[in-house]
Amino acid sequence: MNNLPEYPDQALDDAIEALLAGDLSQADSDKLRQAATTDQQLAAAIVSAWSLRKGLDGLQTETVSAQLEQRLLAIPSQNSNIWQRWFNFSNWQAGQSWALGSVMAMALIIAIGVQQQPSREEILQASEELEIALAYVARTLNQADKTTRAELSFQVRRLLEDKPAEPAQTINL
Amino acid sequence: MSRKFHNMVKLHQNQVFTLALYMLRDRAEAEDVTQETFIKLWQRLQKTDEEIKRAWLLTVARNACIDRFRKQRPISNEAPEPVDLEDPHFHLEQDQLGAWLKQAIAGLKEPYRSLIVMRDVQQHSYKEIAQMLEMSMARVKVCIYRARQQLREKLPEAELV
Repeated sequence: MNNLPEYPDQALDDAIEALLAGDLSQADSDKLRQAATTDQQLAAAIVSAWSLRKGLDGLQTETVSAQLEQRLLAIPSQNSNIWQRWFNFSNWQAGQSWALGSVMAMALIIAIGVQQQPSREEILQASEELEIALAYVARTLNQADKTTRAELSFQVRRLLEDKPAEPAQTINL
Repeated sequence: MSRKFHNMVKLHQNQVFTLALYMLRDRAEAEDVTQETFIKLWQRLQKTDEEIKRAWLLTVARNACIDRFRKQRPISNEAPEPVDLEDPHFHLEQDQLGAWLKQAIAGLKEPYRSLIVMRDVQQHSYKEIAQMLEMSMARVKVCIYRARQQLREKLPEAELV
């Protein structure tokens, strides 16, 4: 298949295809038509190419079903790994992973430090950094907590609005 | 990234599905191949920032179809069967010649079948097809010529249907 010879009537075939597509110049079209009046084989080739072209032009791109489209659009949610989904969970992912990373790094420093008998300055430094990291974690979690509460409150309000009117209940914590 | 993927699904799903359907002649299998193709697209989008073009999708879909042929049945070189008028998909066809052609195209050997679909159904340029199938333009032209010749030779059968 790799060394296919050029077929002998390629120019003629190209001309017929161009004629059918309307891409052939008027002069060339006339010349081809004129030739077809005396050449039966050429005439048959044009008719056969025209019939095929007519059929092929009627073929259209198929449309996917609504179910298949849903399946396709669901691919990202079904084909992400669990860690990716966890990292994509919310907008505060960057801060959270940074904070957790810092905590882990601090824990590692402390663990190594315990084995290597660190100096007083090193312990102080590690403690300060740990404090900063923990403060960041706390702030991030606080932010997440606020967001969750706001969302929860919004959802509850929506649920309540959809129900028939009932006396409001006060929740005493 | 998910938005980018959704856009690509909307833009190319019909093209991928059409190629698979014409090649496999089976809606369920064509749907599976379309899904496989877009799963590969999603995996690739996660790994690289490079722009993925329609050509890549069609190449993946075509290869998936060929894999299915290899696993399930030998590549057919037989003349197409008569149109099954009980098949609802064909029943919907206004044009019987069109219905016959779908069968006839599916009866072509590779790469003729995918070349005819890409060129005559999906209207890709010779250059695009050459890139997709990693063939020279000359070879693409020769194969399309041969595929059309085969279809033309069988055309009289269509009039009997």
